[in-house]
Amino acid sequence: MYPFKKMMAGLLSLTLVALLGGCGDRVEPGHLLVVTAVGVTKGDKGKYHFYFEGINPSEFTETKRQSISNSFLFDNEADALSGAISAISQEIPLKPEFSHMQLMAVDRELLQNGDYGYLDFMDRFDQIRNNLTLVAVNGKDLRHVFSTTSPGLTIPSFGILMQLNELHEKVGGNYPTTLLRFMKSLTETGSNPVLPLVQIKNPSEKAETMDYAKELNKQTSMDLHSIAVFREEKMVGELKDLEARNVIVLQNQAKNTIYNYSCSPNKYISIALQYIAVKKKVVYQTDKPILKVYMHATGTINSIQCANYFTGKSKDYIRINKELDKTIEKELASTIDKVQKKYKSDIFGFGEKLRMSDYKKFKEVKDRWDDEFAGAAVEVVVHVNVQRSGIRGEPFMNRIKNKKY
Amino acid sequence: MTKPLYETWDELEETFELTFGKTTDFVKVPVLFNGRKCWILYYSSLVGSSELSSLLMLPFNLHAAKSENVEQFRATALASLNYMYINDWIVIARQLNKNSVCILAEGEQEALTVEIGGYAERSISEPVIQPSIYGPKIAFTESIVTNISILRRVLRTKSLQMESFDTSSDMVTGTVLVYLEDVIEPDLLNEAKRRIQSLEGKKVTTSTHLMKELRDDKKTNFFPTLMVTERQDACIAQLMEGRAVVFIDGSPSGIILPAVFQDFFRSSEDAYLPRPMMIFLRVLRYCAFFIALLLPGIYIGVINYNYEIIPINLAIEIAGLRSNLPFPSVIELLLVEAAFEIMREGSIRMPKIVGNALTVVGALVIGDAAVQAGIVSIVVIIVVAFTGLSSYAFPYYNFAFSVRLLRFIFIGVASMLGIYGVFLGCIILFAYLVSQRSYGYPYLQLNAKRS
Repeated sequence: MYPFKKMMAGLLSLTLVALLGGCGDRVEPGHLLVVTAVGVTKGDKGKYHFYFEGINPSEFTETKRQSISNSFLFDNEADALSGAISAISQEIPLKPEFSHMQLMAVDRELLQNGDYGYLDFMDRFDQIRNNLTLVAVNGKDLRHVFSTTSPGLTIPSFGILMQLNELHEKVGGNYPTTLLRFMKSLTETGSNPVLPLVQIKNPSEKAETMDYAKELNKQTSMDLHSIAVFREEKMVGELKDLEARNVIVLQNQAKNTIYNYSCSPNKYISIALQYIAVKKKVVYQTDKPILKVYMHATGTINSIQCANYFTGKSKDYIRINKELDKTIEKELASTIDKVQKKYKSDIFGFGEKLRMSDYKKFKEVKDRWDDEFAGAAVEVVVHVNVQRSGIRGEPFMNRIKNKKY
Repeated sequence: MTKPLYETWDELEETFELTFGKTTDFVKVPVLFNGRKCWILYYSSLVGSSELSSLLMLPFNLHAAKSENVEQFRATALASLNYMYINDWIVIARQLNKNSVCILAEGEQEALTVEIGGYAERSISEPVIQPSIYGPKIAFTESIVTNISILRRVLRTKSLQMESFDTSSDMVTGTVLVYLEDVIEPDLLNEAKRRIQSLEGKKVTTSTHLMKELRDDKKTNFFPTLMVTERQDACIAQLMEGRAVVFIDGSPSGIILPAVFQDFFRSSEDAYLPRPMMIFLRVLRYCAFFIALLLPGIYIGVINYNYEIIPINLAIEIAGLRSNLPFPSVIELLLVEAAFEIMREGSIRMPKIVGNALTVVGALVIGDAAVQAGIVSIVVIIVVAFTGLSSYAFPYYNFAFSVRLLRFIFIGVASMLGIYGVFLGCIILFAYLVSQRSYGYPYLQLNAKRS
């Protein structure tokens, strides 16, 4: 009797494992279509037009390479993202896998209308990571964004991401906003989101083929130096280049950046900043808020074009510190001013700081915070400590100037 | 009162046949001892001819004629030899099986047995299974006497004690329990003695049989609870830590008891290294243990169920390598694992002359051909090779067996339950290990105390 019972228990547990085990969820990597990026624009037939970027994985192996394109683009019109996914599953003999999706590009038009119908699925679907990077795309570029290769990187979405990360790490020019972060700033009062804005510089047909990698003169490239500015969940405009950089610095997201100032007409001093820390504060005096910004950073002299301006003595460092402080203060203040005047949108997160420091006041003003922000006075204090001058003290300009014949 | 050895001298030949059978290596030599009839009996397979002539026959020729009785002859001519007077044929047979020669003279009621020995023995050689760079180049042999001599050469102290037990049914093959009496815990010693004593007369003649009887859990033992070593320094280190060592005649290895999990990660060579290096190596061995045990399982689990946790570049690479392959990844992994295990087993059993060349060539050819033909992916080859190498990283060979077997269980569980299954298996495995005891020492406890 006993062995029989034992056998039955064994059989039962085996059956349970077979039935309850995840054999149905089993996937074979060879039969997967790794989707790395998704793009959304307004559709003609359906509500949206979706673009998916898939990978040709065998192109990344030594033995199975066929020298065809590394990635390919397929598109679909549907009312919802889930519908588009099931439609592509029927078209392609592979199982689409979304867990490695890294980039989502949204057309500017959708953002300007505040249309986020596709985001709930991204938020909900268990395969999609909510730390994927979200970018806005200018104009009708979306199809081209996913088919324009960049030098060295033949998968367009990888190119955009690498460029974006590099831009963020090296000069703080832009910040790769994640889906989670974007949704958080959309839903919270006290700060408005920004998104990196992608556009193609000199678009050309040629750049959309694999042969472009063989070209020496690469005219077409991605321009990632702008950010899209939002006000009340709608995109209202964009900021470019240095202004975009200043926003990233003010958001305290910049790790490194470079500031220049003029030492004599048409001659510049360029300082690289590290260890940038920005503190923001909102103080109410009577009924008007004052936005206070305090920035501290360490600097390294990158280049000095003026002769006899710098000799390596400590008083020269102090002078550079003072000049630089003034320059940055002016730049940051003017950026805040522009955002206040033009967009009336608190993209820096001052409201959040007010909520933390003075919740009573924040509750009072939170419904009209963007207007309060637009009318606020600005105080920027910058303290940069320029400590290093590279491997050279005195610039060689000085020696040219002081050369005796 | 036992029966006398013989009633009449002439009936002795019959008695010999009754006692010793018709075996051809039994030698009976009729000689004359001081004018009396005398038999010299021995096994030609156990007594060397040169030893026999120099130790017994030469003195016999010189002194036998002058001696009045056998005892006088023994005292003058054979004084240096172990001897015994016996009046029981069964005991005589047992003594002859222990390399002795029996001398029975007419008129004497007791037979003299003297130990001659001298059969061909393997000389002391270098350790083969557990080689080391710095340690002594001396390995145990099949002879207990030699093994104990190897130990006492280093542990020259009176506290090195040994007790002999006759574990075979004919009370010939000996088992020796060696310990340091001032270090070993009395409880452990009693338990060890009790277990070996219970084997007396149970026909335990080989090391494997002895190990099976000595270990704690006799049915299911996935992990060894005894250590087997052929190294002198390993044995001495264990003796000094209060362990006991068991030798059995005919086996070139000492069985160390008790042994817990962590002991299998400690090499005797560690003592020669600087402490940071020693710690590094030990951590490395633990890593190798987990790799050898879990890597194929984790591979299957990740590839088939938890594809999302692979970093994207690796994921694309794996997807590319796995595209257009005929088998599912589990079958593929099992095929390569089976090929590897067969190669490993084949290389051990193969004649040494062809062995080395064939394994390397076989591994290279089969692996490369399988990848080239597109039957298996190169990732699987890497996983299996890495796993195989990791399972050689332990200083004790018997520990690797358990890992080898359990690996397949983990592959099976992972193929059904994914990563979750691997960790479920880990939990069950460690629960089992925690419940194990070796001579009362908890198996998974560091610096184990008996409980």
